[in-house]
Amino acid sequence: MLSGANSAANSEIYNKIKSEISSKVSNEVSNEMNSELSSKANNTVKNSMSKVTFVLNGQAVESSENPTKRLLDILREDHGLVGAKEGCGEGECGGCAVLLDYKIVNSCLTPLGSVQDKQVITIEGLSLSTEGQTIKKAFEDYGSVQCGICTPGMMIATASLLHHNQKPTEAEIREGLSGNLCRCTGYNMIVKAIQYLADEKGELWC
Amino acid sequence: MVLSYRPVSYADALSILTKVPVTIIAGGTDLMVKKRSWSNLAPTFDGDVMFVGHLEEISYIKKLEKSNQKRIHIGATITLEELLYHKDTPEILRQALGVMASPAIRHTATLAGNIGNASPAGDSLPVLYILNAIVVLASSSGERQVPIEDFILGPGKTAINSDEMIKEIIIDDCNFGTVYYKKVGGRKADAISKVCFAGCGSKVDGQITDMRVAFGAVGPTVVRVRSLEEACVNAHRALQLSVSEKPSEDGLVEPSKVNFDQGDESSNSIAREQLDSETVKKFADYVRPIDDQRSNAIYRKQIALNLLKDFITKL
Repeated sequence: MLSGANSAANSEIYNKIKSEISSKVSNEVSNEMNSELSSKANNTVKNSMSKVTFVLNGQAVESSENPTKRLLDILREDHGLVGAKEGCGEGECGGCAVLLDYKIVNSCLTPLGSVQDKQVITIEGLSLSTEGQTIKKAFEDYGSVQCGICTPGMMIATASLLHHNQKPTEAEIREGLSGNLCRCTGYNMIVKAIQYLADEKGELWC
Repeated sequence: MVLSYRPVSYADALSILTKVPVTIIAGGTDLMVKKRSWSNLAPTFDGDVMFVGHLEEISYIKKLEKSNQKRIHIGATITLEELLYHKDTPEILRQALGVMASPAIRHTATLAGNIGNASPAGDSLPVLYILNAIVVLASSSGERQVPIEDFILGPGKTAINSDEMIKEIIIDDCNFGTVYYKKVGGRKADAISKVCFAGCGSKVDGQITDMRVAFGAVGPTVVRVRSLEEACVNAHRALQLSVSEKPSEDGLVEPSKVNFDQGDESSNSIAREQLDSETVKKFADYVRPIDDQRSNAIYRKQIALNLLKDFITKL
């Protein structure tokens, strides 16, 4: 976790980069705009998105951010939901995993615009549910958590897997976790926790 | 300012395409990496974008029969995961999808996106070449059908026009006796292939009647050489004929009574082995990989040809 001082310093850096880049971008755009403006004005196109609405952890939310922005940034920066983390930023580690309509997705690869009208559940939302609590308890009991950085993503992957397959085989469990990396390599304990969940708590996901 | 469009319908999407040039986003799993920027900054799209992943009209998998040929139509917004678990998905495609990316990526990524991205290492592409995939491109002025080998022109380059979008992909619905898909990557999931290989074949009465192979990541586009496939099938037929036409003891040729397996087995298998090695040698001329950050040309070529050999032996 970042300390208060660090995050303040970070946001200063962010703002600096943000203003630098946005001034650069707006210059480029204004040049393009001059030539394109007339053609665009003639073709009035509707449906350009100004707001994105979706359900976040059970609550309807609205965002007027750029719809191409990553869902990950919206969650962390605008909603303070920092359980989803940026590990690799290119869909290889699963640290940013969230549930989109109850299926696991990488929020670092998900543009905000594509979650319009959909249901997003983060680890914070999942933790409040009986399913989330049950997964958490199983992970504790089976020693599935070591350093903890992959745990939110692993729990999301577990929920997604069990939601669609209540009786997974070991191979199916490993397949279900295949997009999530554990840097402590504690995979066997995670697989055992999920096997227990499937054997003993399967009714939760029926 | 980059604008984002979200068409209310498929027809609406086509009408937007006629008015503004846009980058089409279905799942976005490739584009969001390509256009990646700093954390908490918008990706670096250099023009407007259009989200299409939600369009229900082009989210279908249909089996249709046209002049005795069964074909499967896959809508552009069908995700890889939906396709992976669909009952009509051909086994060879199912095998490729099963080792592609990870569940998280497959939940949003699409087959149309894998084609549009036109990466030499696209894992579904060798299979689509084998299944004679046709890409259906739609614009507000109509549709056109382009075979996949004419659609993908090179790395990241396709024959799509700025007012067109992929509407569906049509593939052959074949029942092959042998299907073989192998991906060689640095990791089981989420790896970009060093080499990928797809092979399909069928036999009737011990005779190879159909043999198709395609290689990924060994050239700017997928490599499929139909003339060599045909030559291989013909060579196998000739070999079997020469075996079955062996005169019987009384000197009469009775092909129908002679069984391939009852002939001189060791000499047959030697002849078959020789034939297979020759086939592999012929394909070697077409497998021309490069060195890059994921692998090198020597390794890629050797592995690709080993996979071909393994497939032919199992055929």
